[in-house]
Amino acid sequence: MKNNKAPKIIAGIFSGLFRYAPFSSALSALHSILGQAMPAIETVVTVGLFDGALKALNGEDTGGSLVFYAAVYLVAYFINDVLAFVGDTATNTGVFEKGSHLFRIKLYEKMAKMPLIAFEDAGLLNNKERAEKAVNDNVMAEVFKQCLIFAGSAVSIVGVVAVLASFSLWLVPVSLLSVAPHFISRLLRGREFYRVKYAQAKKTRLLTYLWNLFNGRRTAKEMRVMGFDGYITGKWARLRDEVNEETWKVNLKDVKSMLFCDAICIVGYGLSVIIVLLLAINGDVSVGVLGASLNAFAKVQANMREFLISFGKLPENLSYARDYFGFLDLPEEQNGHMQYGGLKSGIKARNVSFKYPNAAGYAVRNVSLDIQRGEKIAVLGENGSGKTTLSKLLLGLYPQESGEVLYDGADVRGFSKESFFKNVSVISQNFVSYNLTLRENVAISDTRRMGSDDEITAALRGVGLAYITDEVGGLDGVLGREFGGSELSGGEWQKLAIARGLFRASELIILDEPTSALDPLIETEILTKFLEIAKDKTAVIISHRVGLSKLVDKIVVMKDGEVAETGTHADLMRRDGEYARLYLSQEQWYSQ
Amino acid sequence: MFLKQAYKAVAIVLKFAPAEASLKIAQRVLMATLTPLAIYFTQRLIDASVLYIGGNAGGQAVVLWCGLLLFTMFFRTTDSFFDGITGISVSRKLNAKFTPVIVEKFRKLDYANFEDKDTQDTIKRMSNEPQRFLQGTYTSALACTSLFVVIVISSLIFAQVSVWFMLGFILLIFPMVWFDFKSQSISHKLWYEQSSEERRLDYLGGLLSGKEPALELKIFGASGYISDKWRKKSETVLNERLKTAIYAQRFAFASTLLFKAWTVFLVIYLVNAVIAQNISIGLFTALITSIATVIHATENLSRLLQYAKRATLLIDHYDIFLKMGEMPENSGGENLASPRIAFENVTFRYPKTDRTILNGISFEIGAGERVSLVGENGAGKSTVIKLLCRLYRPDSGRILINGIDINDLSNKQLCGVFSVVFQDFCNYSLTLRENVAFGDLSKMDCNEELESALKQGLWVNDDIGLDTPLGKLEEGGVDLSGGQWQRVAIARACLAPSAFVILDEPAASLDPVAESEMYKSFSEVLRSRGCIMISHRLASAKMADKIIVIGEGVVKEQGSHTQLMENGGLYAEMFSAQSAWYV
Repeated sequence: MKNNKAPKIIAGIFSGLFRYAPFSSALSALHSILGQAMPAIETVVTVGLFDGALKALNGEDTGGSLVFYAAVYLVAYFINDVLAFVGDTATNTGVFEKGSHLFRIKLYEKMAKMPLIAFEDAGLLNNKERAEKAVNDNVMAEVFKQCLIFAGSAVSIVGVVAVLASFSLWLVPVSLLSVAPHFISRLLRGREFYRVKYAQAKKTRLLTYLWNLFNGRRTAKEMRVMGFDGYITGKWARLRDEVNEETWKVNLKDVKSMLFCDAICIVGYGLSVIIVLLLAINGDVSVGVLGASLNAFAKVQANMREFLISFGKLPENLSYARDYFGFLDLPEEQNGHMQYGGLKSGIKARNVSFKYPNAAGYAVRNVSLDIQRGEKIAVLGENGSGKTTLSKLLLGLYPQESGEVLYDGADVRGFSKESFFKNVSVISQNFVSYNLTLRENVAISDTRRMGSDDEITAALRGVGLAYITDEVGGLDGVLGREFGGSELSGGEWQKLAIARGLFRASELIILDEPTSALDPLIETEILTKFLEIAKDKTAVIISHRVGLSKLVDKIVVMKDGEVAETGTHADLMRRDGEYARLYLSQEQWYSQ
Repeated sequence: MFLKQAYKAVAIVLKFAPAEASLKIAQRVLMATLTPLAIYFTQRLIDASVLYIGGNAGGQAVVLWCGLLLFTMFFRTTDSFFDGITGISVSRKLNAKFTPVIVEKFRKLDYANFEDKDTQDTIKRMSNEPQRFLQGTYTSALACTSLFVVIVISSLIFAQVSVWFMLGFILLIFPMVWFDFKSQSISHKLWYEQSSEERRLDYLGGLLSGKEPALELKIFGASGYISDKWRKKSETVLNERLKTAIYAQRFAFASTLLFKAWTVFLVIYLVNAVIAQNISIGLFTALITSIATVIHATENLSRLLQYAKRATLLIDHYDIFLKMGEMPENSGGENLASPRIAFENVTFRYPKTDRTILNGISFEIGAGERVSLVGENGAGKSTVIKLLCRLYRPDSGRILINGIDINDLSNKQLCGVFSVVFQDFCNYSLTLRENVAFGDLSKMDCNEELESALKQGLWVNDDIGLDTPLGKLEEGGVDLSGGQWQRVAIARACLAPSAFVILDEPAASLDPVAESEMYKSFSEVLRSRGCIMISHRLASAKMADKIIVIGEGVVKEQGSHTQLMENGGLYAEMFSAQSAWYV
């Protein structure tokens, strides 16, 4: 749906809004279209008003028609204002607030259904960001409004011209004369402006970057200590002068072209005024028509401008809306039908290979692995050797390119996600620190037990965080500074993440060891707690620590996406391969 | 009052761009008189045409007024041209004269301001195109003034009917603008300022759309929980917003009603005047036409006042910004030969906090010594570094280098003593050359020295040339991994000809193998220099001449690895705990 055509997107927006907020959308549309009949009515009424006044002034009648038109004038304006008031309220509340709200719900619902791999695809992420921006900036509501303005100004122009034609056919070409130049100037200016923006973007980006080096906390710190602020100031000043002069030249050209366009427009307007004046003097039209025309021409010009402006803005907004609808149409995560009843014998990976979207090389290549039920496995390896990716493949979170992951002989991707994940828990390297209550931070891993205070407290006690409950004001105390809650230290957040992972009743648990800087005492405490609690489960521990090898049943050593070795500490030391290298490089620093 | 601040913006712009800004003021005032003039010329044109058609006068008057009208019209359309010209000259001048003042101030700003919660708003405001906001405030202040001129001169047209008419009109304008202004204030608040509920809502939305939460929520099956929570909160927020929006519309309605009342009065008056035959058709037309002009002007006026109100916040921030504390500028002084460092009873707590971080700490670091700072999370190790770099000053006690208080050293002298790789070191999206040479600008063009510094930082990507742009800023830029960036940062510190290299968690994003290589390299490179290192991987401490263990804001113990292991104190405990995982 990437190449959706504009009419289809607009239709999508209209049908969406009319479904989400039918009453407001209808009112808004009614006002935008009907309200634009007003200029035509206004023209008729002012002609009557002026002619009536003239007759009364000349003593041709006693002012009856003047009073009539004055009354019509007031009533018409009153209706128009009420309509405008209702229409604006409907647009602001129904279309913008409520409409955008519902467009956003759709987006979030979609996000929850996206496969995890989507977050690794730069193109998809970009699409997601633009879809979010579309919702945040009320783009769909804007498009709706612009389309209505578009239609409304057309109604207004046609209406006024039609009314003028009824007074004299001459007025049709005359009014067109006052409008046509806008088209010409629009054509002239539209392209120019785009070129300017594009050419400057690169330098401006660097300029902004340099500027931000001065006001960022981290950069300010380094600049003060290392003393290279002068270099950046110099570079910034040179570039700024360059950009400044270029902008000046470009802007100068821009305003000159604008002057030219405005001149064409005013010449058109001037000509039409003179022609009407001549018509009036010749008696072809009344003085009332003359007075009303001067107004009507200005009105038609203004409408034309609005028409063209909303036309000009439309493409950018439409491109965001296109990404929004495009995102909604993306394929969702495939859910299997098989029910998963729990692990009986073990997990087997067979020749599994995997490549990240748009990546050249394999992140995991031809990996085969056996994990027996109840076994503890340590996955070791250098940064970037594919440890975390492998764990995601084992859980069926990423689609492998070839090979298979089997649970008791059945393909992991064939299970229904719900039944499968019910038996799984993870403690992720990039765990989330929820700025929610303490209770939610633990029980988010099993929301059905959100109310069991005893179990939550037990989980906290399990990781040595029992004291925290009082500190933050009970289980319902809010955590995180963002909303005025209690802030925890890095180590406490990490323990909380472990409590969360263990709170979920699972038979398989994956611990992707956080590498952030914890002091050695906390680090030891956390790892010991984990091993103790995971005693009866099947566990995969991703780590740098060769010392873990003595506490697990099997070690898997990864290198460049492949399994380099598997076995126990003694086996692998005898082989004198990758594991031995890892071990010795660490051991030399820690042996006493 | 915000109008006062708005005119302060005018004064600031006048100061930095006197000629351009005055020209713009003249242009705005001139333009402001044209709108009512056009109405007046229309009035005269119609009167003249009626007389001419009736055969009561010659055509000269028609030609004259028509000419004047067209001339005004033409002049008004050149408005966007002159407005553009004066606008861009002001902005050019502000870019050239005003922004350097801001940059200079940023450069001199005392570092503490960057960590102070209270000044964050001001710093953020001044970081984000202050010149543009200044000009915006200036322009809107001028526009308010010129609209005011439009309204006053328009009222002169009413004065043709009666002076009372004019006064009534002026009196009516104020409440109209006020109601409109009020209504827009409420809507603006709604659209641009987030309530705390809305921030919570955004946070929940972020959990639903983020990459890290996606993994957890998927496996925990908790997406539904979060999205329900989001939906409930969202509905509350929506209802609140709808209520406010409707409330705002009330004020708009009040303004409309006032205007309606004026229109009814005007029309009835005019009809009577016509019937009584004491008004000309031209004036009649002009007054009817003026209705649209007036409503347009009042709407714009309230909108501009609204803008000015928000923009003047900038002026407040500008005042605060200029008053912020600066670093003392002291220059000169000889480079210190083989510097020794001493902390004497240093106490320190961060400004506006209660917790004492350093509590009378004393220690010495000899010339060329290699020291490792060890301690639990939050013990104050990084704070010691910040004090050494003079980013903060001790509350009491002294920090001495060769017996001289560091406050008495010049920046240059201090740079000669330390170069630093901070825990949160920066990645510059500039060339590799610049990234390294920031350690010592004088070596910007010395390829050999830059390359040897890179080698010392364990840089292995020889395929990336010195002039390759790094980072994502430019299209051809090469983005590095966390570990690679760290190596660049270390190379930067190695290039600096300082007596000491300070490394705060240098191995945080390295794996153990890369880490041990790094320690080897350090012991080579830093043989000739002193080094102060902070690391949680205690293996690094083994190669230090001295380990200083910090706890509770003082030195708990110090000595070599062997000594401390024998002591059996905090260090021994930490080292054994960690080594159990590696051997």
